[in-house]
Amino acid sequence: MNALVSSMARGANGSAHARSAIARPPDRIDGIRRFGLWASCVVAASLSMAGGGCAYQRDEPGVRLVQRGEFGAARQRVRETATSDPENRAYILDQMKLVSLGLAEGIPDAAEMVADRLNDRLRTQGLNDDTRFASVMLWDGATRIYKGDPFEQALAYYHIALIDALRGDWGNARAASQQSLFLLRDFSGALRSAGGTRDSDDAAALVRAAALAEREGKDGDALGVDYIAVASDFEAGYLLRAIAARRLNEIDDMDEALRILRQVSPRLSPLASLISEGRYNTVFAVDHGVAPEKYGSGPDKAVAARGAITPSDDAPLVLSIGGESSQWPVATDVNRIAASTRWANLEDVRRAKSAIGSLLVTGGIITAATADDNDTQVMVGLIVAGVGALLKASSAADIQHNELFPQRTYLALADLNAPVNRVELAIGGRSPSRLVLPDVPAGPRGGLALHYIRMPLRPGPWAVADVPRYTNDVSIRRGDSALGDVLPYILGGRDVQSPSLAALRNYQASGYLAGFSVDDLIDLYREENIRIAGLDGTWEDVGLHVLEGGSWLYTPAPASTAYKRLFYSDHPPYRPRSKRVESLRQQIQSQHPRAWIRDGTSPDPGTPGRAERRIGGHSVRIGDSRRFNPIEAPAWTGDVRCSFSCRTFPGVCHDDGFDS
Amino acid sequence: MNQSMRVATLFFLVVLAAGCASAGKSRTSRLTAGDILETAASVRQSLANDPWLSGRGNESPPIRLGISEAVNKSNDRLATSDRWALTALVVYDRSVQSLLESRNVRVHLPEETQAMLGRMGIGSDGAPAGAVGGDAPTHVLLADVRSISRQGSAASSVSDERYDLYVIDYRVAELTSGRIEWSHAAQVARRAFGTVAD
Repeated sequence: MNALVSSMARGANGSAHARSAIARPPDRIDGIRRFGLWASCVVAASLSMAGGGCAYQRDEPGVRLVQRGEFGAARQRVRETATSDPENRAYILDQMKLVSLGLAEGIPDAAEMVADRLNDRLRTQGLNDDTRFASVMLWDGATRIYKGDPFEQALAYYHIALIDALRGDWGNARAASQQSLFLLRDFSGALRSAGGTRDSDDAAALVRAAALAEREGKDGDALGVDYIAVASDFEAGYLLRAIAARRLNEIDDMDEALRILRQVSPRLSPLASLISEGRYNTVFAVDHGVAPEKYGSGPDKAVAARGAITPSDDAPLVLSIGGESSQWPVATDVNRIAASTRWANLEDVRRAKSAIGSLLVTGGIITAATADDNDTQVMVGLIVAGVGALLKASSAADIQHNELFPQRTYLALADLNAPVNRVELAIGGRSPSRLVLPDVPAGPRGGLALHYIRMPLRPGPWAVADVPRYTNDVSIRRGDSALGDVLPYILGGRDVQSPSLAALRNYQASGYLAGFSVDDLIDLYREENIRIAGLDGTWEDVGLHVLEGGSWLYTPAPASTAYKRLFYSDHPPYRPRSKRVESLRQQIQSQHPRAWIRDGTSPDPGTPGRAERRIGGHSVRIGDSRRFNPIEAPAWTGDVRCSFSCRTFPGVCHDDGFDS
Repeated sequence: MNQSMRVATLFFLVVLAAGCASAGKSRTSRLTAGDILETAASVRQSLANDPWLSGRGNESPPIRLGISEAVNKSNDRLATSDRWALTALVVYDRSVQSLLESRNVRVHLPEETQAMLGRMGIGSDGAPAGAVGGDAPTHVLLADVRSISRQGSAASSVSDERYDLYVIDYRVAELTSGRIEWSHAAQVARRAFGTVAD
């Protein structure tokens, strides 16, 4: 189409030239020709921008990674292309994705700085005010800064609030929740009185009403359709605000949030009562599915519409802890709010209306210009040709959206007594999902902890696994160090805790790295260019985990999906990059031949192992049972027989029976 | 310039003018560093004039005054450093220090707190004169931040103005009894322009 319109512009230029050549002297003709050329260039350049900008490309590989629960890899994809320029039109969209994926990956410290920047941009007004008029003339994609539809802004604030809550910052969590609860515009009354539609929340009806308003000259740059401001129905925002307010002992604020919640969503009244009663020390914020797709619909794809990727249903979240199950309703269905005109920025409708207005203005210029000056007529003719073409080119709705947001949210409460709990989460319905989290810590006594879980739709076997494959900062702190036999992953073992004095002592108690200092241990990671979260750079720099082929060492929150994915599934053995680590690895292999994963291959995870453990200098033999869970193992005394997979603790696996 | 160019120029000046309409006005109603400094100044003045301090002399029973991070109960997120700055900048002020010393009030600021504040860029020029760690504080300076938010528009049907009134409630509490010895409410009004939703 660009070529067609460009040729139209050239045609207009040519015919104008022909007409004026009859009556005008040569210098005048040259001036007009130059202007015609200039105008053509403007049109061509503008159309080039329109064509170059094109429609938004969804990150489908990223969506698939999210559906599989591989948030680290999805986050890495976004990081690699994210802009750092706050003025870039995609800046806020990139930050939204990074916040959500950092949250899902269980690294709130990494997401916090991004959340600060995102919050700052979302709280900045008029990002597109400078481009509003121009955006009618040029394709929006070339000029508009993405700030998201209102429902996306609400979700972004909600995720920021979750990050704050995960870090125990309930003041900011309450504030960010409050920010997600802005008033909405409800046009349904005006649309009904204007002739009525079957669905008063119909975008098409709104477009017709806006066009009518334009014809009547109503409210130049806005829609011109009457609306009333109504309270938000973003249920998750009210729930989290109430939980945070209760934690801050702001009972009036909690009561207000719950009162409005009961009004806008009576079905959540039982949950509101539980929050008010306050008999819980742990909150589970659970997201599920992926957000609906945004696309252009209608003539020229001018009106934005949303289509569900994860279908909506009323399937509750089933939370099972210690043999007791409870059911929790969907808090917010993102498909529902995304389809509502209340939650759309309606920029597409406004643009359609403004485009009509601009044509009328241009028509006025024509009328004035055609009075007695042929040159001006020629110029205006060119502009009109250009404007008409541009309006046509720019008529497609802006379909930028965050395809990585969830489809629904749940909030569940629990009063956990044990320090560490096995928690099972299940969602039925049309998109079932199940996740077992064996290491969920309880909230502090008298306090409150929030855990965020992004449920995977198509996870691997790790989602329901009970046997850990790797020790880490959390499991070691809980007492796995007493089990001994921990060897760093980079040296052929199954331990991925951050280097520390405690870690070194664990290795040395297992008979490895004798004579090493903590600095020596850190140097091994330096040699491999492996960076340690909290030690190297800022948390924001944290990238893909070393277990997944990246170069970062970190331990996600123990109640996160990422913790389960990383430490409860097998990953390929590490291949050293430096000669020093390779040499040390070979040395350990030769000195501890049975404490070794066969080079280049992992043992069959289902193979029963027989092993030896050395605790405090005593040998303890282990063998022959299949379901050994080292996390839950009692203190080792004397001979113990239990079962575990060779892959759990490769450093102690034997294939040939008990060791002596 | 011929008439054609004049019309064209006028046309694009109109486009430009539309974009410049809101230039020079604040686009965010969040608290700024300048607001926090002004708040600290108002606290200083209130402390100086309050009977609690003016009734004390250098022979009065000693007070060890600690500080606590401000609690955010406002409608906007506040960075941790901002929350600490709201109380720390009061006791880091030299005139406040002089005033407190003359009333036998010592600022209680353990080294680790000083180091943490230093990392946040607060009090990088050193701890308050006479700051002490060691013994537990007898009093603590507390602050709560609250806010009222309104948004709307004078001329358009789309909200393009936001107004936030922040109220920072300061108080000095006696730790044993919980008695409030002094309190002061500082106010900061912030107004921002531009389409709120976009």
